[in-house]
Amino acid sequence: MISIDNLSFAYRKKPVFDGLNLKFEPGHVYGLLGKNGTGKSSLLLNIAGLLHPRKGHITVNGFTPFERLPVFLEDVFMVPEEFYLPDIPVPDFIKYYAPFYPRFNAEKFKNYIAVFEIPSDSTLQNMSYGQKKKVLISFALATNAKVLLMDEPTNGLDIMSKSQFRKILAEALDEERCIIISTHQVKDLENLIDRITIIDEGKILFDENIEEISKKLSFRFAYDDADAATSFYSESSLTGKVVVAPNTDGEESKLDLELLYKAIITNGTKITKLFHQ
Amino acid sequence: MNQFFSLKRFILLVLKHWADNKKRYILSVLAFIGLLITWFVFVLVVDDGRPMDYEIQVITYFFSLFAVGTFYASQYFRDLGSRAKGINFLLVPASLFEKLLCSLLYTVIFFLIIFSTAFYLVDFLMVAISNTFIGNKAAVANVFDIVFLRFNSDSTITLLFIFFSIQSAFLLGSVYFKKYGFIKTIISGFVAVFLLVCLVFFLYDFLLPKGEYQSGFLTSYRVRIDGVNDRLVEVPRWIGKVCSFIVMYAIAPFLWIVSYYRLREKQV
Repeated sequence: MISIDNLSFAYRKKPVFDGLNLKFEPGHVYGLLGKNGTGKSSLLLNIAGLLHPRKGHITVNGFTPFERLPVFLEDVFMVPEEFYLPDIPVPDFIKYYAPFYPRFNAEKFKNYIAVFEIPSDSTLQNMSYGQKKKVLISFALATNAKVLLMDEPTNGLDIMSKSQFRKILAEALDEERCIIISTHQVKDLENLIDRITIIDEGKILFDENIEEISKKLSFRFAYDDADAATSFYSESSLTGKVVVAPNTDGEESKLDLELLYKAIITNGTKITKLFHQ
Repeated sequence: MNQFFSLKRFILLVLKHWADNKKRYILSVLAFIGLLITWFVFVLVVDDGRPMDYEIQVITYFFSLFAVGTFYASQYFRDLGSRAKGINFLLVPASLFEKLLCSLLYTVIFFLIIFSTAFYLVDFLMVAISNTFIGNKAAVANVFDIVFLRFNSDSTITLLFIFFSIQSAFLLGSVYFKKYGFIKTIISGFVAVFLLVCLVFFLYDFLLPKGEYQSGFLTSYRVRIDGVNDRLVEVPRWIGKVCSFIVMYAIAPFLWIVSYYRLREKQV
């Protein structure tokens, strides 16, 4: 579905990626994690055809994104972190924007904004940032675009909306659709993503699916100080030390994305080695 | 469906542009009508001779056409200067040709129709007021009437094509410059004209023997020797015709094509 081969990209003289290789398949929700400024958004913009790679090649549904052909754009929808919506009523927004997407489902859109508790006849102009974002997310899902790119989708959403977001996103996933979510609010994506890709300094630091992570890593309290010292990562909490350690007893623990992320940032080489043994 | 042009997609794009901008457009037309009325009232007040005569109507029409038309064109693609709006614009599933064509439909055709309608609405009203209250019998001017256009020996049609050429430069400026497109296009225009003048008059003056250009579109040159044995160098007449054709009709399409390619390269 999305194939990135040897991608190099730079903003003028500031390199972002150099020889990046990645693949995204349909039927999955990918979590793209990384520090600020590591290239998560740039990767999404390259996939959407909004930035031009210096070297290498990207193929999305068989098309080269930067050609921005209508048939490509019909099947790729991006929810950017900074977004724009016109100051028109929601019904007008649907009336004038939806016909560009041949598989747009108006019923689904109504359901999504109902879940988000947005009145269907309200005007975008009078909405808060969070409400506008919910309209955009609802629209994005209702387009039935095969590729959905979301950059920090939970930014600006309140606690209830974040759980509503997880609910409707889980509903919207099907076998043909590939959803890539870039975020640094990893907690918001728990129980939602099925593959994690961590980017650091323009390189892929970690790229594994949740099943594999749960098999190979254990997220638990440390038995003692020696256990904490030998783990990949440990940190103190009110109830003791939590660690990320190799899963030696074969029992799957509940994945803690935040801990995993910290473990990979601080001890990435050892963890990657474990996955490639 | 054709990926370069589809009438269905184009109509959708035109409707979407209207939906996105109708408030702004309606307010702008009202503001223009207000400004025009203010100007004509000012003329009525200060000129107690023939306040609404032909020249003032024609000059007002063309001055405001150039001012408003170029400003509007310079604003059309300004969304591309903002990342959020640029993403919205570029990701709409329509081809870049359709997006450019939509811009031409609005900035050239619709603009000219709406502008002229608004102008004549005010003009009819102000001429009627002038005739009623001042007593001087002015007529509503036909600004497209080439015969009465006294400040240009060529036709009004020519002036309109010059307008399209200048306006297309401002449209390109709105694609090219991220911010302050209008001002930057004016500055770039002055620089381009200045360089052209330098090239034509100073460089040629330096290269060619002493003399001066004669009538025609820089196609005949008098080489001054002693006043009696002067030589007249003329390039074939068709070259002059081709040059004037290019200046008149080819600049605007050329700049539209440049805008298309610039739009194709656009990144956020």
